[in-house]
Amino acid sequence: MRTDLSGQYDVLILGAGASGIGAAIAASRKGARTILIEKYGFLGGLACSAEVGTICGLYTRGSHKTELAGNFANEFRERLERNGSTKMQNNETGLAYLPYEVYAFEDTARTLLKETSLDVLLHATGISISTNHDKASKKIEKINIISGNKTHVISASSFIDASGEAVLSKLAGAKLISSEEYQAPAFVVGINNLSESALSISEKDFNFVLLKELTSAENIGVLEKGTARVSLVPGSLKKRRCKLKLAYPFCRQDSDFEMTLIEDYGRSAALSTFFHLKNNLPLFKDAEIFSLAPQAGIRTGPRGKGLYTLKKAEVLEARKHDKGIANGLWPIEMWGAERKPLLEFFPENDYYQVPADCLISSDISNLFFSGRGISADEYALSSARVIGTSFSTGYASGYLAASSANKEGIDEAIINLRYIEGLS
Amino acid sequence: MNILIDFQHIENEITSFLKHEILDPSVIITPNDKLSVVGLQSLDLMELVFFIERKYQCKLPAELLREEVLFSINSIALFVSDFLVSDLSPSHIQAELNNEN
Repeated sequence: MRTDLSGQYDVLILGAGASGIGAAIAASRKGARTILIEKYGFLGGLACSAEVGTICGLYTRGSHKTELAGNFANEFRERLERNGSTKMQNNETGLAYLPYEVYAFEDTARTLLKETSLDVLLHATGISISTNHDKASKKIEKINIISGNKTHVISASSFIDASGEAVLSKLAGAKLISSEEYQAPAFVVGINNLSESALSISEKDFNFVLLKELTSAENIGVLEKGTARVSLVPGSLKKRRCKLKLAYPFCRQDSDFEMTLIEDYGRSAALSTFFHLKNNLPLFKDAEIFSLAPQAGIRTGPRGKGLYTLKKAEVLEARKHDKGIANGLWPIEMWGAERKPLLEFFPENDYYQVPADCLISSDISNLFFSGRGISADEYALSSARVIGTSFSTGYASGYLAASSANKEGIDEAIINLRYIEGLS
Repeated sequence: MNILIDFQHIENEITSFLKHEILDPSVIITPNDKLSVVGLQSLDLMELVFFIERKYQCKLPAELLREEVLFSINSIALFVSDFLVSDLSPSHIQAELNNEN
Protein backbone atom coordinates (compact mmCIF):
# COMPACT_ATOMS: atom_id res chain seq x y z
CA MET A 1 0.00 0.00 0.00
CA ARG A 2 2.39 2.69 -1.21
CA THR A 3 1.24 6.27 -1.01
CA ASP A 4 2.40 8.79 -3.59
CA LEU A 5 -0.06 11.63 -3.52
CA SER A 6 1.17 13.71 -6.43
CA GLY A 7 -0.56 14.13 -9.70
CA GLN A 8 -4.14 13.46 -10.66
CA TYR A 9 -6.00 10.45 -9.36
CA ASP A 10 -8.81 8.94 -11.39
CA VAL A 11 -10.83 7.93 -8.32
CA LEU A 12 -10.67 9.15 -4.71
CA ILE A 13 -12.68 7.26 -2.09
CA LEU A 14 -13.39 8.75 1.33
CA GLY A 15 -13.96 5.92 3.82
CA ALA A 16 -12.55 2.38 3.98
CA GLY A 17 -15.59 0.63 5.40
CA ALA A 18 -17.22 -2.29 3.59
CA SER A 19 -18.41 -0.10 0.72
CA GLY A 20 -15.15 1.86 0.44
CA ILE A 21 -13.24 -1.39 0.24
CA GLY A 22 -15.55 -2.62 -2.54
CA ALA A 23 -15.19 0.67 -4.38
CA ALA A 24 -11.40 0.64 -4.08
CA ILE A 25 -11.13 -2.89 -5.43
CA ALA A 26 -13.51 -2.20 -8.33
CA ALA A 27 -11.84 1.04 -9.39
CA SER A 28 -8.36 -0.36 -9.06
CA ARG A 29 -9.11 -3.58 -10.93
CA LYS A 30 -10.64 -1.51 -13.70
CA GLY A 31 -7.29 0.21 -14.11
CA ALA A 32 -8.11 3.53 -12.46
CA ARG A 33 -5.41 5.31 -10.45
CA THR A 34 -7.18 5.06 -7.08
CA ILE A 35 -6.67 6.39 -3.57
CA LEU A 36 -8.56 5.28 -0.47
CA ILE A 37 -8.69 7.67 2.50
CA GLU A 38 -9.64 6.44 5.98
CA LYS A 39 -10.00 8.34 9.28
CA TYR A 40 -9.14 5.40 11.53
CA GLY A 41 -5.91 3.43 11.66
CA PHE A 42 -7.63 0.30 10.43
CA LEU A 43 -9.87 -0.79 7.58
CA GLY A 44 -13.42 -2.06 7.80
CA GLY A 45 -15.37 0.97 9.00
CA LEU A 46 -18.13 0.12 11.45
CA ALA A 47 -17.71 -3.60 10.77
CA CYS A 48 -14.51 -3.25 12.80
CA SER A 49 -14.86 -0.05 14.84
CA ALA A 50 -18.36 -0.87 16.08
CA GLU A 51 -17.67 -4.64 16.10
CA VAL A 52 -20.95 -5.42 14.37
CA GLY A 53 -19.93 -9.08 14.39
CA THR A 54 -22.12 -10.48 11.60
CA ILE A 55 -22.30 -9.82 7.87
CA CYS A 56 -25.93 -9.64 6.73
CA GLY A 57 -27.10 -9.54 3.14
CA LEU A 58 -24.97 -12.39 1.79
CA TYR A 59 -27.73 -15.02 1.64
CA THR A 60 -31.34 -15.05 0.54
CA ARG A 61 -33.94 -15.72 3.19
CA GLY A 62 -35.14 -19.29 2.86
CA SER A 63 -32.74 -21.50 0.98
CA HIS A 64 -29.74 -19.23 1.64
CA LYS A 65 -28.55 -18.82 -1.95
CA THR A 66 -25.26 -16.93 -2.08
CA GLU A 67 -24.92 -16.33 -5.81
CA LEU A 68 -27.43 -13.50 -5.66
CA ALA A 69 -25.26 -11.37 -3.37
CA GLY A 70 -22.92 -10.26 -6.17
CA ASN A 71 -19.48 -11.55 -7.16
CA PHE A 72 -17.41 -9.17 -5.05
CA ALA A 73 -19.43 -9.79 -1.89
CA ASN A 74 -19.00 -13.51 -2.49
CA GLU A 75 -15.29 -13.13 -3.08
CA PHE A 76 -14.96 -11.39 0.31
CA ARG A 77 -17.18 -13.97 1.96
CA GLU A 78 -15.13 -16.91 0.67
CA ARG A 79 -11.87 -15.33 1.80
CA LEU A 80 -13.26 -14.49 5.22
CA GLU A 81 -14.66 -18.01 5.65
CA ARG A 82 -11.13 -19.36 5.10
CA ASN A 83 -9.17 -16.65 6.98
CA GLY A 84 -11.53 -16.43 9.88
CA SER A 85 -12.67 -20.05 10.11
CA THR A 86 -16.27 -19.01 10.04
CA LYS A 87 -19.43 -20.19 8.34
CA MET A 88 -23.01 -19.20 7.79
CA GLN A 89 -25.40 -19.20 10.74
CA ASN A 90 -29.16 -18.82 10.54
CA ASN A 91 -31.99 -18.02 12.89
CA GLU A 92 -35.59 -19.09 13.37
CA THR A 93 -37.00 -16.66 10.81
CA GLY A 94 -34.84 -18.15 8.05
CA LEU A 95 -32.43 -15.21 7.98
CA ALA A 96 -28.79 -16.14 7.50
CA TYR A 97 -25.61 -14.19 8.27
CA LEU A 98 -21.89 -14.74 8.57
CA PRO A 99 -20.33 -14.18 12.01
CA TYR A 100 -16.76 -12.87 11.92
CA GLU A 101 -13.89 -11.86 14.16
CA VAL A 102 -12.93 -8.21 13.73
CA TYR A 103 -9.24 -8.98 13.12
CA ALA A 104 -10.14 -11.47 10.35
CA PHE A 105 -12.43 -8.98 8.59
CA GLU A 106 -9.75 -6.29 8.64
CA ASP A 107 -7.09 -8.73 7.51
CA THR A 108 -9.24 -9.97 4.61
CA ALA A 109 -9.77 -6.38 3.48
CA ARG A 110 -6.09 -5.55 3.82
CA THR A 111 -5.03 -8.58 1.79
CA LEU A 112 -7.46 -7.78 -1.01
CA LEU A 113 -6.33 -4.16 -1.17
CA LYS A 114 -2.66 -5.13 -1.23
CA GLU A 115 -3.27 -7.30 -4.27
CA THR A 116 -4.04 -4.14 -6.23
CA SER A 117 -1.89 -1.11 -6.86
CA LEU A 118 -4.12 1.44 -5.18
CA ASP A 119 -2.90 3.99 -2.63
CA VAL A 120 -4.21 3.99 0.93
CA LEU A 121 -3.96 6.79 3.47
CA LEU A 122 -4.95 5.92 7.05
CA HIS A 123 -5.51 8.34 9.94
CA ALA A 124 -6.63 10.87 7.36
CA THR A 125 -9.80 12.87 6.87
CA GLY A 126 -11.15 15.46 4.47
CA ILE A 127 -11.39 19.05 5.70
CA SER A 128 -12.41 21.01 2.62
CA ILE A 129 -12.88 20.67 -1.11
CA SER A 130 -12.71 22.88 -4.15
CA THR A 131 -15.01 22.72 -7.12
CA ASN A 132 -14.99 23.94 -10.69
CA HIS A 133 -17.45 26.73 -9.83
CA ASP A 134 -19.64 25.75 -12.79
CA LYS A 135 -23.21 25.86 -11.52
CA ALA A 136 -24.56 24.08 -14.58
CA SER A 137 -22.18 21.17 -14.27
CA LYS A 138 -20.68 21.25 -10.80
CA LYS A 139 -17.71 18.98 -10.17
CA ILE A 140 -15.36 18.45 -7.26
CA GLU A 141 -11.78 19.09 -8.31
CA LYS A 142 -9.64 18.73 -5.22
CA ILE A 143 -9.89 17.73 -1.60
CA ASN A 144 -7.79 18.96 1.33
CA ILE A 145 -6.88 16.03 3.53
CA ILE A 146 -5.37 16.24 7.00
CA SER A 147 -3.31 13.33 8.26
CA GLY A 148 -1.52 13.81 11.57
CA ASN A 149 0.02 17.26 11.31
CA LYS A 150 0.31 17.20 7.53
CA THR A 151 -2.17 18.46 4.98
CA HIS A 152 -2.36 17.27 1.42
CA VAL A 153 -4.25 18.58 -1.57
CA ILE A 154 -5.35 15.71 -3.76
CA SER A 155 -6.89 16.03 -7.21
CA ALA A 156 -9.15 13.42 -8.73
CA SER A 157 -11.56 13.01 -11.60
CA SER A 158 -14.20 11.06 -9.65
CA PHE A 159 -14.99 11.13 -5.94
CA ILE A 160 -16.81 8.49 -3.90
CA ASP A 161 -18.41 9.33 -0.56
CA ALA A 162 -18.01 6.05 1.31
CA SER A 163 -17.86 7.84 4.68
CA GLY A 164 -21.28 6.67 5.81
CA GLU A 165 -21.96 10.15 7.19
CA ALA A 166 -22.10 12.19 3.96
CA VAL A 167 -18.78 13.81 4.93
CA LEU A 168 -17.63 14.36 1.35
CA SER A 169 -21.12 15.31 0.18
CA LYS A 170 -21.42 17.94 2.92
CA LEU A 171 -17.98 19.38 2.16
CA ALA A 172 -19.01 19.66 -1.47
CA GLY A 173 -22.33 21.31 -0.67
CA ALA A 174 -24.21 18.50 -2.41
CA LYS A 175 -27.93 17.97 -1.90
CA LEU A 176 -28.55 15.67 1.05
CA ILE A 177 -31.26 13.44 2.46
CA SER A 178 -31.47 14.20 6.14
CA SER A 179 -33.98 14.14 8.97
CA GLU A 180 -34.30 15.11 12.62
CA GLU A 181 -34.09 11.52 13.71
CA TYR A 182 -32.31 8.38 12.52
CA GLN A 183 -32.32 4.81 13.71
CA ALA A 184 -31.28 3.81 17.20
CA PRO A 185 -27.60 2.91 17.66
CA ALA A 186 -26.08 -0.14 19.39
CA PHE A 187 -22.99 -0.80 21.50
CA VAL A 188 -20.84 -3.94 21.70
CA VAL A 189 -18.96 -5.14 24.76
CA GLY A 190 -16.66 -8.17 24.91
CA ILE A 191 -16.80 -10.39 28.02
CA ASN A 192 -14.68 -13.37 28.92
CA ASN A 193 -14.18 -15.83 31.76
CA LEU A 194 -17.82 -16.82 31.86
CA SER A 195 -18.57 -19.83 34.06
CA GLU A 196 -18.40 -23.47 32.94
CA SER A 197 -22.10 -23.44 32.03
CA ALA A 198 -21.23 -21.17 29.10
CA LEU A 199 -19.76 -24.25 27.42
CA SER A 200 -23.12 -25.95 27.20
CA ILE A 201 -25.68 -23.18 26.84
CA SER A 202 -27.32 -22.37 23.50
CA GLU A 203 -27.45 -18.80 22.14
CA LYS A 204 -31.22 -18.81 22.55
CA ASP A 205 -31.02 -19.83 26.21
CA PHE A 206 -28.21 -17.33 26.84
CA ASN A 207 -30.38 -14.55 25.43
CA PHE A 208 -33.26 -15.60 27.64
CA VAL A 209 -31.02 -15.44 30.70
CA LEU A 210 -30.08 -11.86 29.79
CA LEU A 211 -33.67 -10.88 29.04
CA LYS A 212 -35.08 -12.24 32.28
CA GLU A 213 -32.38 -10.93 34.58
CA LEU A 214 -32.13 -7.45 33.08
CA THR A 215 -35.89 -6.98 32.79
CA SER A 216 -36.26 -7.97 36.48
CA ALA A 217 -33.60 -5.40 37.33
CA GLU A 218 -35.40 -2.73 35.27
CA ASN A 219 -38.74 -3.58 36.89
CA ILE A 220 -37.43 -3.10 40.41
CA GLY A 221 -35.50 0.03 39.45
CA VAL A 222 -31.98 -1.34 39.95
CA LEU A 223 -31.18 -0.64 36.30
CA GLU A 224 -32.51 2.23 34.18
CA LYS A 225 -35.45 1.66 31.89
CA GLY A 226 -34.33 0.62 28.46
CA THR A 227 -31.32 -1.28 29.72
CA ALA A 228 -32.80 -4.74 29.17
CA ARG A 229 -32.15 -4.79 25.44
CA VAL A 230 -29.03 -6.88 25.46
CA SER A 231 -28.34 -9.92 23.31
CA LEU A 232 -25.46 -12.06 22.23
CA VAL A 233 -23.75 -11.07 19.02
CA PRO A 234 -24.61 -14.23 17.02
CA GLY A 235 -21.63 -16.52 16.66
CA SER A 236 -19.64 -14.73 19.35
CA LEU A 237 -20.21 -17.25 22.16
CA LYS A 238 -16.97 -19.22 21.98
CA LYS A 239 -15.77 -21.30 24.90
CA ARG A 240 -16.10 -18.92 27.85
CA ARG A 241 -16.06 -15.69 25.89
CA CYS A 242 -18.80 -13.69 24.20
CA LYS A 243 -19.77 -10.31 22.83
CA LEU A 244 -22.97 -8.61 23.90
CA LYS A 245 -24.81 -6.01 21.90
CA LEU A 246 -26.77 -3.30 23.74
CA ALA A 247 -29.62 -1.75 21.77
CA TYR A 248 -30.15 1.93 22.65
CA PRO A 249 -33.61 2.90 23.95
CA PHE A 250 -33.56 6.12 21.92
CA CYS A 251 -33.05 7.14 18.30
CA ARG A 252 -30.09 9.05 17.01
CA GLN A 253 -30.92 12.75 16.73
CA ASP A 254 -29.37 15.08 14.20
CA SER A 255 -27.57 17.49 16.52
CA ASP A 256 -24.04 18.77 17.05
CA PHE A 257 -23.26 16.85 20.22
CA GLU A 258 -25.13 13.72 19.31
CA MET A 259 -22.13 11.44 18.76
CA THR A 260 -20.62 12.46 22.09
CA LEU A 261 -23.90 11.68 23.89
CA ILE A 262 -24.21 8.38 22.06
CA GLU A 263 -20.70 7.27 23.01
CA ASP A 264 -21.18 8.36 26.62
CA TYR A 265 -24.46 6.45 26.93
CA GLY A 266 -23.13 3.29 25.31
CA ARG A 267 -20.00 3.03 27.41
CA SER A 268 -21.80 3.81 30.70
CA ALA A 269 -24.64 1.41 29.94
CA ALA A 270 -22.24 -1.35 28.94
CA LEU A 271 -20.44 -1.11 32.28
CA SER A 272 -23.51 -0.84 34.50
CA THR A 273 -25.16 -3.73 32.67
CA PHE A 274 -22.04 -5.86 32.92
CA PHE A 275 -21.59 -5.26 36.65
CA HIS A 276 -25.21 -6.06 37.31
CA LEU A 277 -24.85 -9.37 35.46
CA LYS A 278 -21.62 -10.13 37.32
CA ASN A 279 -23.18 -9.47 40.70
CA ASN A 280 -26.38 -11.41 40.05
CA LEU A 281 -25.82 -14.32 37.71
CA PRO A 282 -23.62 -17.39 38.34
CA LEU A 283 -22.84 -17.40 34.61
CA PHE A 284 -21.04 -14.04 35.00
CA LYS A 285 -19.65 -14.51 38.51
CA ASP A 286 -15.96 -14.40 37.50
CA ALA A 287 -16.42 -12.66 34.16
CA GLU A 288 -14.34 -9.71 32.95
CA ILE A 289 -14.75 -7.13 30.21
CA PHE A 290 -12.03 -7.56 27.61
CA SER A 291 -13.22 -4.94 25.14
CA LEU A 292 -15.53 -2.02 24.56
CA ALA A 293 -16.00 -1.30 20.84
CA PRO A 294 -13.91 1.64 19.61
CA GLN A 295 -17.13 3.32 18.58
CA ALA A 296 -20.88 3.01 18.97
CA GLY A 297 -22.69 1.31 16.12
CA ILE A 298 -24.51 3.90 14.04
CA ARG A 299 -27.07 2.53 11.62
CA THR A 300 -28.25 5.46 9.53
CA GLY A 301 -27.53 9.14 9.19
CA PRO A 302 -27.43 11.90 6.57
CA ARG A 303 -26.59 10.82 3.03
CA GLY A 304 -26.35 12.31 -0.44
CA LYS A 305 -29.37 12.81 -2.64
CA GLY A 306 -28.99 10.80 -5.81
CA LEU A 307 -30.48 11.02 -9.26
CA TYR A 308 -32.89 8.46 -7.80
CA THR A 309 -33.93 7.55 -4.25
CA LEU A 310 -34.64 3.91 -3.39
CA LYS A 311 -38.01 3.51 -1.68
CA LYS A 312 -39.51 1.17 0.88
CA ALA A 313 -42.12 -0.16 -1.57
CA GLU A 314 -39.45 -1.27 -4.02
CA VAL A 315 -37.69 -3.29 -1.36
CA LEU A 316 -40.89 -4.99 -0.18
CA GLU A 317 -41.97 -5.73 -3.76
CA ALA A 318 -38.53 -7.23 -4.52
CA ARG A 319 -38.38 -4.94 -7.53
CA LYS A 320 -35.74 -5.46 -10.21
CA HIS A 321 -34.30 -2.70 -12.43
CA ASP A 322 -32.70 -2.77 -15.90
CA LYS A 323 -30.01 -0.56 -14.41
CA GLY A 324 -29.85 -2.43 -11.12
CA ILE A 325 -26.23 -2.62 -9.98
CA ALA A 326 -26.55 -4.39 -6.62
CA ASN A 327 -28.91 -6.99 -5.18
CA GLY A 328 -30.41 -6.46 -1.74
CA LEU A 329 -31.10 -9.68 0.16
CA TRP A 330 -31.80 -8.41 3.70
CA PRO A 331 -35.25 -7.40 4.98
CA ILE A 332 -36.23 -3.97 6.22
CA GLU A 333 -34.89 -3.81 9.77
CA MET A 334 -35.83 -0.59 11.55
CA TRP A 335 -34.35 0.06 14.97
CA GLY A 336 -36.34 2.65 16.87
CA ALA A 337 -36.83 3.38 20.53
CA GLU A 338 -38.93 0.22 21.01
CA ARG A 339 -37.57 -2.93 22.51
CA LYS A 340 -37.41 -4.91 19.27
CA PRO A 341 -36.67 -3.81 15.71
CA LEU A 342 -39.41 -3.70 13.11
CA LEU A 343 -38.76 -6.37 10.50
CA GLU A 344 -40.57 -6.34 7.17
CA PHE A 345 -39.85 -9.11 4.69
CA PHE A 346 -40.07 -9.50 0.95
CA PRO A 347 -40.78 -13.06 -0.31
CA GLU A 348 -38.36 -15.88 0.50
CA ASN A 349 -35.56 -16.59 -1.97
CA ASP A 350 -36.19 -13.22 -3.61
CA TYR A 351 -34.25 -9.95 -3.72
CA TYR A 352 -34.61 -6.32 -4.82
CA GLN A 353 -32.16 -4.27 -6.86
CA VAL A 354 -30.52 -0.91 -6.25
CA PRO A 355 -30.58 1.19 -9.42
CA ALA A 356 -27.36 2.92 -10.51
CA ASP A 357 -28.92 6.37 -10.10
CA CYS A 358 -29.02 5.87 -6.31
CA LEU A 359 -25.23 5.99 -6.37
CA ILE A 360 -24.83 9.19 -8.39
CA SER A 361 -25.25 12.66 -6.88
CA SER A 362 -28.21 14.63 -8.21
CA ASP A 363 -26.21 17.85 -8.44
CA ILE A 364 -22.50 17.05 -8.57
CA SER A 365 -21.70 15.05 -11.67
CA ASN A 366 -18.47 13.39 -10.44
CA LEU A 367 -19.70 12.52 -6.92
CA PHE A 368 -20.77 8.95 -6.18
CA PHE A 369 -22.27 7.30 -3.09
CA SER A 370 -22.01 3.84 -1.59
CA GLY A 371 -22.88 1.70 1.42
CA ARG A 372 -25.11 3.35 3.99
CA GLY A 373 -24.60 6.61 2.09
CA ILE A 374 -26.67 5.66 -0.96
CA SER A 375 -29.73 7.66 -1.89
CA ALA A 376 -32.55 5.77 -0.20
CA ASP A 377 -35.46 6.49 2.15
CA GLU A 378 -35.02 5.48 5.79
CA TYR A 379 -36.87 2.17 5.37
CA ALA A 380 -35.07 1.09 2.20
CA LEU A 381 -31.77 2.12 3.76
CA SER A 382 -32.47 0.00 6.83
CA SER A 383 -32.12 -2.95 4.45
CA ALA A 384 -29.50 -1.70 2.01
CA ARG A 385 -27.06 -0.49 4.69
CA VAL A 386 -26.03 -4.01 5.78
CA ILE A 387 -22.42 -5.01 5.21
CA GLY A 388 -23.14 -7.57 2.46
CA THR A 389 -25.11 -5.08 0.38
CA SER A 390 -22.57 -2.35 1.12
CA PHE A 391 -19.88 -4.50 -0.51
CA SER A 392 -22.02 -4.56 -3.65
CA THR A 393 -23.01 -0.90 -3.78
CA GLY A 394 -19.39 -0.08 -2.98
CA TYR A 395 -18.09 -2.19 -5.83
CA ALA A 396 -20.66 -0.63 -8.15
CA SER A 397 -19.73 2.93 -7.16
CA GLY A 398 -16.04 2.17 -7.72
CA TYR A 399 -16.70 0.74 -11.15
CA LEU A 400 -18.96 3.62 -12.21
CA ALA A 401 -16.56 6.22 -10.82
CA ALA A 402 -13.64 4.64 -12.69
CA SER A 403 -15.68 4.50 -15.90
CA SER A 404 -16.64 8.14 -15.50
CA ALA A 405 -13.01 9.16 -14.91
CA ASN A 406 -12.14 7.31 -18.12
CA LYS A 407 -14.90 9.20 -19.95
CA GLU A 408 -16.82 6.01 -20.72
CA GLY A 409 -20.57 6.17 -21.26
CA ILE A 410 -22.62 5.43 -18.16
CA ASP A 411 -25.03 3.04 -19.88
CA GLU A 412 -22.25 0.86 -21.21
CA ALA A 413 -20.53 0.97 -17.82
CA ILE A 414 -23.72 -0.29 -16.16
CA ILE A 415 -24.02 -3.17 -18.63
CA ASN A 416 -20.40 -4.19 -18.02
CA LEU A 417 -20.77 -3.85 -14.24
CA ARG A 418 -23.88 -6.03 -14.19
CA TYR A 419 -21.99 -8.68 -16.12
CA ILE A 420 -18.92 -8.56 -13.86
CA GLU A 421 -21.03 -8.76 -10.71
CA GLY A 422 -23.15 -11.58 -12.06
CA LEU A 423 -26.37 -9.59 -12.01
CA SER A 424 -27.49 -10.06 -15.59
CA MET B 1 -50.93 -27.23 56.81
CA ASN B 2 -50.59 -26.78 53.08
CA ILE B 3 -47.05 -26.99 51.89
CA LEU B 4 -47.71 -29.69 49.35
CA ILE B 5 -46.64 -28.58 45.90
CA ASP B 6 -49.65 -29.33 43.73
CA PHE B 7 -48.39 -30.06 40.22
CA GLN B 8 -51.85 -29.92 38.72
CA HIS B 9 -52.49 -26.55 40.33
CA ILE B 10 -49.33 -25.15 38.79
CA GLU B 11 -50.20 -26.52 35.36
CA ASN B 12 -53.69 -25.01 35.59
CA GLU B 13 -52.35 -21.62 36.68
CA ILE B 14 -49.89 -21.51 33.80
CA THR B 15 -52.57 -22.50 31.29
CA SER B 16 -54.94 -19.89 32.65
CA PHE B 17 -52.31 -17.14 32.53
CA LEU B 18 -51.37 -17.94 28.95
CA LYS B 19 -55.00 -18.07 27.84
CA HIS B 20 -56.01 -14.81 29.51
CA GLU B 21 -52.88 -12.71 29.28
CA ILE B 22 -50.80 -13.84 26.32
CA LEU B 23 -52.59 -15.86 23.70
CA ASP B 24 -55.33 -14.86 21.34
CA PRO B 25 -58.70 -16.10 22.72
CA SER B 26 -59.17 -18.30 19.66
CA VAL B 27 -56.01 -20.30 20.35
CA ILE B 28 -56.52 -23.68 21.98
CA ILE B 29 -53.62 -24.97 23.99
CA THR B 30 -53.02 -28.23 25.84
CA PRO B 31 -50.28 -29.01 28.39
CA ASN B 32 -48.08 -30.87 25.92
CA ASP B 33 -48.25 -28.44 23.00
CA LYS B 34 -44.93 -26.95 21.92
CA LEU B 35 -45.21 -23.31 23.02
CA SER B 36 -43.15 -21.89 20.15
CA VAL B 37 -45.61 -23.41 17.69
CA VAL B 38 -48.56 -21.52 19.21
CA GLY B 39 -46.58 -18.32 18.70
CA LEU B 40 -45.02 -17.65 22.09
CA GLN B 41 -41.94 -15.44 21.86
CA SER B 42 -39.17 -14.78 24.41
CA LEU B 43 -40.96 -11.76 25.84
CA ASP B 44 -44.13 -13.83 26.39
CA LEU B 45 -42.17 -16.57 28.15
CA MET B 46 -40.49 -13.95 30.29
CA GLU B 47 -43.90 -12.57 31.36
CA LEU B 48 -44.97 -16.12 32.21
CA VAL B 49 -41.86 -16.65 34.34
CA PHE B 50 -42.51 -13.38 36.19
CA PHE B 51 -46.12 -14.47 36.79
CA ILE B 52 -44.97 -17.80 38.26
CA GLU B 53 -42.42 -16.02 40.49
CA ARG B 54 -45.11 -13.66 41.84
CA LYS B 55 -47.67 -16.43 42.25
CA TYR B 56 -45.40 -18.85 44.08
CA GLN B 57 -43.19 -16.28 45.82
CA CYS B 58 -39.97 -17.63 44.39
CA LYS B 59 -37.08 -16.60 42.11
CA LEU B 60 -36.47 -19.04 39.28
CA PRO B 61 -32.77 -19.06 38.34
CA ALA B 62 -32.56 -17.73 34.78
CA GLU B 63 -29.74 -20.10 33.86
CA LEU B 64 -31.94 -23.11 34.51
CA LEU B 65 -34.70 -21.88 32.19
CA ARG B 66 -33.43 -23.74 29.16
CA GLU B 67 -35.32 -24.37 25.95
CA GLU B 68 -36.27 -27.89 27.06
CA VAL B 69 -37.78 -26.50 30.28
CA LEU B 70 -39.75 -23.78 28.51
CA PHE B 71 -40.91 -26.28 25.91
CA SER B 72 -44.55 -26.80 27.01
CA ILE B 73 -46.91 -26.00 29.88
CA ASN B 74 -46.25 -29.50 31.21
CA SER B 75 -42.45 -29.17 31.16
CA ILE B 76 -42.62 -25.75 32.85
CA ALA B 77 -44.97 -27.04 35.54
CA LEU B 78 -42.67 -30.01 36.19
CA PHE B 79 -39.67 -27.71 36.54
CA VAL B 80 -41.50 -25.31 38.85
CA SER B 81 -42.86 -28.05 41.12
CA ASP B 82 -39.41 -29.67 41.39
CA PHE B 83 -37.86 -26.30 42.11
CA LEU B 84 -40.39 -25.39 44.79
CA VAL B 85 -39.88 -28.69 46.56
CA SER B 86 -36.10 -28.31 46.58
CA ASP B 87 -36.50 -24.69 47.65
CA LEU B 88 -38.16 -25.79 50.92
CA SER B 89 -35.49 -25.33 53.59
CA PRO B 90 -36.29 -26.22 57.27
CA SER B 91 -36.64 -22.49 58.06
CA HIS B 92 -39.03 -22.10 55.19
CA ILE B 93 -41.17 -24.96 56.49
CA GLN B 94 -41.10 -23.47 60.02
CA ALA B 95 -42.26 -20.12 58.62
CA GLU B 96 -45.16 -21.84 56.84
CA LEU B 97 -46.09 -23.64 60.06
CA ASN B 98 -45.96 -20.34 61.96
CA ASN B 99 -48.30 -18.75 59.42
CA GLU B 100 -50.75 -21.59 59.70
CA ASN B 101 -50.94 -21.23 63.52
